[in-house]
Amino acid sequence: MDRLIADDQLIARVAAADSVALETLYMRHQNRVFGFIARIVRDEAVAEELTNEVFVDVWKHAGGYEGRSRATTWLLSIAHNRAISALRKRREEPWDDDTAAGLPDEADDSEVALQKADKGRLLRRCIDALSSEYREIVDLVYFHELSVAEASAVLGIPEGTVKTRLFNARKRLSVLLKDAGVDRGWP
Amino acid sequence: MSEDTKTRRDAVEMMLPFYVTGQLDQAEANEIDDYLKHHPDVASQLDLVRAERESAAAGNAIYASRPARSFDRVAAMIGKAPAHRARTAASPLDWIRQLFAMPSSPALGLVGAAAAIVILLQAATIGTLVVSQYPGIFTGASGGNGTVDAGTTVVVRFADDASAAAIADVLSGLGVKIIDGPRGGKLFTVRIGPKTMNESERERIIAALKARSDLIVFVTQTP
Repeated sequence: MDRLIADDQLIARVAAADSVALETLYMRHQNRVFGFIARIVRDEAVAEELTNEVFVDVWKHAGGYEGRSRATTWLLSIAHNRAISALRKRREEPWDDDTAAGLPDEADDSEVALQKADKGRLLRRCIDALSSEYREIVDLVYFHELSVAEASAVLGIPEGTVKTRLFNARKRLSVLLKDAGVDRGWP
Repeated sequence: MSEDTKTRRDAVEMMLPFYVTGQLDQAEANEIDDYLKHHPDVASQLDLVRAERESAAAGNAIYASRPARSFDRVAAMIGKAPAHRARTAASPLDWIRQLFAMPSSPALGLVGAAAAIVILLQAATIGTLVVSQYPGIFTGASGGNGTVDAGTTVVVRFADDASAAAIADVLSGLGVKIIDGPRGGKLFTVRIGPKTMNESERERIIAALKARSDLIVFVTQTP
């Protein structure tokens, strides 16, 4: 298949039951979708299966893609719905849990000292310790580099909520860092 | 601080992540620029936002560099036979071709003829770097997924407007090589030395990469 075929064109081909186009989309985007889901469900085996299901959804619903958003935004939207549905079935963590409260307790004194010396690593741990809801918005904006409108489309929430959710996630990060001994002076 | 002032400040602070990732339109970005010029205390938050971005990328890097999975399972689920039975590349050049046949980011995406040319140039340049300077990193068994021999690696995100020539110049000057990418989130894995390299040398290379912020948005150690 021609390397210069854009995602939109591939989805149009998938809508016409072209499985080669679906395979190309899969090879192109599977890691993005897998990583996004894995960060939400925190189970790689589950994420593998959900990733496959996302592309089955693409196969079934490609005809409904109208090209108003980027293909990656559409894929992440499907992935979000799959991941949230799986979480609800599992009745796992509540959306706004406070898992990070115990973060400093997990480390012994020497490790805490090391973490303080490596703020980047500590910040990463704090992001990982956010609730799924907060971690997801952080990943969408910082890693997947979505705009406000795109994140709104993926999550199915108003644009204002996108902004406040990320704002609150960042404030929560500051609390977690402070609990771990790092005051970053904001908010 | 008046209520209006606080509201305006909050509004700007809420937009800083999108400002840093370049996801604002020109008018919005200009508004933030103007506000930051007059409010250095808010401008200082940009470093926090950049650090958050870098850490988010580091947390995702492990997934972004995951070897590609076969399409077979999905094919079975939709009742179709996969078209491409053999996904394993036969040579480094094949791997490079596959790699750049799968642009997944806006920066490397297909937004017109000019972008397509850039992609081909990047493929050629990076491919040349990898193939000519790392003839031994691809094995017959694992060459197709970009797996390489052990080494000390970092994950980097190049600036969208960085040219392949400039990137090649910096990397070759430091004696480091791209060994994988682009993966989700526009990330490349860069080998900065052998597994046994000492910490001071590792820190020196990372600092040198970070110093080229005109070309490299962030550098993060692999998880």
